[in-house]
This record gives sequence, C-alpha cells and structure tokens, in this order.
Amino acid sequence: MTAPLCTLDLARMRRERIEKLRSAMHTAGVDVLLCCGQNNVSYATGARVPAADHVRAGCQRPVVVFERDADWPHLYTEFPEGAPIDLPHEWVHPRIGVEARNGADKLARALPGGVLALDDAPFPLWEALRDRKPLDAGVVLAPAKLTKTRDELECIRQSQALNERAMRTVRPLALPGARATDLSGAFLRAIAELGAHANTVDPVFQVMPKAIGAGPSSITGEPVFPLPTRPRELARGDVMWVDSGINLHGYASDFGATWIIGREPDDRARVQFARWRDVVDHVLTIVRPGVTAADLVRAAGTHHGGRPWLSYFYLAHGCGTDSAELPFVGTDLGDAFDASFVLAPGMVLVLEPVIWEDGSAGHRSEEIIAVTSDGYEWLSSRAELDGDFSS
Amino acid sequence: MRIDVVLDAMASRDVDAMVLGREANARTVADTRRLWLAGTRAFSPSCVVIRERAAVHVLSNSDDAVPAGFPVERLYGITWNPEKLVAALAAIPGLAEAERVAVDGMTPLMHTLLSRAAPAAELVDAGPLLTALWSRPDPERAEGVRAAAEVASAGMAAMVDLLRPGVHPRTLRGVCAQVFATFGVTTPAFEAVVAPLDANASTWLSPERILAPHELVVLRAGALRDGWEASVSRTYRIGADSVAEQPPPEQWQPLLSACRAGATAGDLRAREAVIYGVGRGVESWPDDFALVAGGTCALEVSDARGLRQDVLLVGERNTGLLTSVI
Repeated sequence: MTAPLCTLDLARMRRERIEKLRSAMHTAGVDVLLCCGQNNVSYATGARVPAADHVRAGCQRPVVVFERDADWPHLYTEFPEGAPIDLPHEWVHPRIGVEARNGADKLARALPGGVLALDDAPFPLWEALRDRKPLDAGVVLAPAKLTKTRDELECIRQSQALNERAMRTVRPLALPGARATDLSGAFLRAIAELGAHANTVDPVFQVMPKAIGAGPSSITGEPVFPLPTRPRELARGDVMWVDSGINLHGYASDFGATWIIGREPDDRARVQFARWRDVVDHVLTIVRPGVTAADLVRAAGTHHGGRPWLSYFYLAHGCGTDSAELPFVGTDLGDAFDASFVLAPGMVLVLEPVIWEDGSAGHRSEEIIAVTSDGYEWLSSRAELDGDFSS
Repeated sequence: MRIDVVLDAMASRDVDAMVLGREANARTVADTRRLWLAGTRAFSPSCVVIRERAAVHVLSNSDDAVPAGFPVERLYGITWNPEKLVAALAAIPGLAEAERVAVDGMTPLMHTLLSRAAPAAELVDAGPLLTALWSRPDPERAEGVRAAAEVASAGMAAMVDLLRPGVHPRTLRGVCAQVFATFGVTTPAFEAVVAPLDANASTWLSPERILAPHELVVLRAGALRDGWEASVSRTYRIGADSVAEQPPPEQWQPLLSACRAGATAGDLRAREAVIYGVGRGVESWPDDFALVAGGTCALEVSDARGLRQDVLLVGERNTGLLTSVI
C-alpha cells in the first residue's frame, strides 16, 4: 500500500482547480469556458453524475459555464445532490437539455459574450454555437490539468489503492475452471463495497494468445489489447493481462498486471517480467523535472530491435480526471513531440511497457508515479504487481 | 441492423456519409463490440458509413470488434495523432467527395480535422437519421432487449433480497454487478442505484450512508448485454425487518395501456410519463416519434407513492413487459 501524500482536502482541491482554469483562460485569451464532457465538468466543479453507458451519459450530461472573472462556475445538472457542498447553491441550476435544439438554443442565448472555448457538443449545440467560432477547450483544460496539486495526486493515489485492494480479492479467484467474467463480477462487487464512486471501464481479464497469429487479427501486427472480457473458462498456464479503472472523487486509476493462471510463472514468464521491470526501472532512473519524453523513450531502450510497448499506445501516459491524458510518452505523435515535452513537478506517468515473445505470450503491467521537484513518488504499489513473480 | 436499412435512411435524407462517435450509434449501424467505457467522451470519428459504396469503416485495431466477415481493410487504427486521424479518414474512399455528412457530435478540433478529410461536406445532424432507424423493424431487437431485461431483472431481484435497514447502498450496487456477471454480462446500462425518494434530489445517485427503517427508496438496475440495453426501477418501503414494494403510481396502468403502436412520445410525456427507446442503448425519441409494433422502450412513471420503470415490447394492441421483479 502506498503512503498518503497529504491530508486530502476536497474543497481546497476544487478551489485550486478553479484558479488553475482561470489562469489558463487568461493565458489562452478565453473569456468563457463551456464544458459538456462529464470529466471536464467534474474538474471544474467536482459534480458527480451516475456512471452510465456513453449515450445515456450524454443524455444526462451536466454542463458548466465558467466566466473567467466569476467567483464560481455555473453548474447545470439533473443531479443536484451530486454538486459539492462548497459550490454555493445560487451557482447550481436545473439541467439544460443540450442534446436537443431547444435546450441548445437556450444555452447559446444565455452564454456571455467574448471568446468562447468548448470541449464537446452534441450536434444541435454545435449548430447553435458555431458562428461564435469556439476554440477547442483543450487550450484551457490541457494546461490546467497537466500538473496536479497535492490533493489531486492524493485522489489518484487513493483511487489506485482502492483498485489494487479490489484486485487483491480477485486474484485468488483466477483459477483454472473459473470464467473470466466471474472475475469481472468479483471485481465490480469489491470496488463498490470499498467505496469507489464509479467503475470507468469494463474490467479487462484477457487471456493472451501465445502468438499474435493465433488471432484475433491485428492491423498493426502486434498483440491486440485490451479486448472485452468474455465468459471464457480459464485453463492452467493461461497468461492473463489485467486492466481496470475506477473513479474516486473524480479521479481515475489504472491497474495493469500479468497473471499466470493455476501455476507458478515458468522461467520464460519470469524472464519477461524481469525484462519488463528492467525497462520501467531504467525509465525511473532518469525521471525528474527538465527531462523530456524523448529522454524517457531512450531510457526504455529496445526489445528485439523494437520499442518495448504497443505502438498504438505509449510507453507512458498521464492520469487524472481521464484515465489517459497528457503527458503522453512514446505515442505516434512522434519523436519531435516527445523531444518537445518536458517533465515538470506534479505530472503523473502511468508506465506500461510490454515485453512480447511471440510464441510464448508476454508481460504487461502498469506502474504509476508522480514527478516531484527532484525525482518521483509512487502512486501505485509495486508490491501489488510483484505477487505472481515474487518467489 | 441490416446495412441496406441504414443506406435507405441515408438516401432518403440525401446524406452521403455518416461519421459517428457515439458507441450506441456505432452498435446500431455496425454491430460493433468494442471495450465498454463509462460516461461521455469527446466526439471522435469511430464509425464511418459511405452510402455510395455501401461501406462501413470502424475504428479498431482488430476484427474482434466487428461481426464475422467484416472486411479487415475497413478497420482503421487507434491513433493519438490528429494528422494520422485525418489521413485515415481521407483514405476512406468516398468521404472526401461527400457533400452531406451526418455527424452525432462535434468539437472545435474535430471540426477542423473533419473539414480537411471531407472538404466538400456540409455537416448535418445525424439525429433525425438515427431516429428514422429506430422506428424501422429490426428482427434482432426484441430478443436482444429481452435478453438484457432478463439480466436487469435478476440484478434487481438480488438487490431487493438484501434491502433492509442498515444496509449500505453500495453493497447492493456491488451485488447487482456480480449477478450480472453470472450471465457473462460485465457492462451496465448504468451502475445500479439505491436512492431515497427525495424532492430535492434525483433518484440516480446513491447516498454514502446506510439506509434507515421506514425510508422510501428507489432501486434501479440496468444492463447492457451483447450491446442491447434494458433497465428496471421500483420503489420500496423499508420496514423494521422486511421490505414492501410500493404500489405502482396511479397513472402507471393507464400510461402502460397507452403505450401502443401509433402513440407518440409527446402524447405520453404530456401525461407526465418519461419515455425513451431502448435498443443499442438509450434512444432519445423526439416528441413526434410514433411507437411502432416490435419496438422496445422504457416507460417511467412516478408520483408521491413512488416510481416505477419497466422496459416494454410495443404491440399493435397490447404492449408487454420485458422486465419484471419477483
């Protein structure tokens, strides 16, 4: 279990986020920020909404309007009980149905003038706003979210600790004869009982093929991951890649591990794990402010002549109100992007190398750190990953 | 849904291409089975339909996400690079020439990118086109929703079994998810809810406290099974050592009887019903949407006594319940 980074103060965290948004709006020359994405609404206000399927969530979406010099953001929500108590009630309003023309027009008419930044819009709202030529809200949200406050980091740490604790109850159930979806059920029950605010992704318990050619088809020629969990019966020796995410106080977590079903890892699996750990440790050796993403890519080295991660993902990604957000390291944004991206204190990195040996599957786990003023600190627990490979 | 039905709907609205970002819409037109993620996400092209070529293109790194026989060359891969996304879209034959492109959302960034991939296009709302698809007969729909209803109903029954004073709502939420998984279902329509009936709150967020004797609580369970949705809600009075289901709202039976082919969503909403389609997810029916035989929808009615919601299979004369709570 990781150690607390601070005494969590959610009201302080929300106030500091508002100031970060305000500052980013000043820098970007934005007068009004309009958020329709629930994770961005959560960032701006702390408002909670039910965890739901994509379109249902869209129909129920809360909306935030934040004028740069206002005391608070306006929150329009169908779930007033999800608004934090420190948001004064006069800033909480009934829902506006921006999915339909009437609601979209109503909101467009009510918006203050000036430069508008928008994150995402149902098409009727887009039609109502496009003459204002809104900027992409990324110009505000990305710099605000890029580095985390201590309270934000503590939220991520707690979210991850809960995720890990739930997985500790699931691991003994991953036995030959069990169905993979039974593991999903046990996990979902555990996170609910432990107090997770939501599950954010269908938990992945994917039995990997020994070789990529065994399918399913892969358009990049690499292992295909992650896939939806199916009610497949587990067998002794299966190599299972696990990936799960939950939400606590609006913050994501990201658990990734490799489990060997029904027996101790064989020598090949141990070598893969050791190689995976080696990649992570080489990267961690150089993590500090001022280092670029390209430096991390170089530190990770190569494996069989290629980069030791899936080319369609990354060596590392950030984690915050979204489970994968800036920084991105080693993506197809390319070498120039990596070279231009400089680490700073408060950035979060989820490291997820992959060591693949076609014919004998491979190893994929994830570890989470935050950049400090002179190195890094842990947001995930290394001991939780080592379980299968510690002896 | 058959592709010719989708193409007909596009032709009747003079739409050359559809660019969809919402998962339920991709499920509707392409029967995709991608990893489920909770919540809203910014619009991004994840499914493209080109009418002239009767071709569907899907964002996926593998054919695992699409039905058997789907041409692998019509998959385009995950990318973090906007330039690569533009290139992938521009490489879809027919999109660059499309004059009317229907979309189901937009962001400023995607508007810039899509304008490059489809420079000739007028962007129009995919909503009316999707509404037309929802009213077309789909032989798989009733069975798909019925199967999801079986799961939702079982989850609800398990929650009711545990409902008593002192229980924590999150315990019931967890049990519901675990019961879903016994059906091989790991995706909800929404996470299960146990919420007190309270005029100052919705009935969609469970409180972080234990339940007290004599409380009126609303229970909600919703499942997404093989990409089909169903949900059910009931209200209970918690006794000292038992629970009692509240009688249905007074208007429940009259409104249920009114849910027949030909009735419009607006007619029912004028009588205080909450009604929307359920199929590959929630369908936001406009007020002038007329119910069709073979269609499936959620009906929710509430009054001071409580709230009830079921999923219905609409008939010409009689409408049946697909959900139940034993």
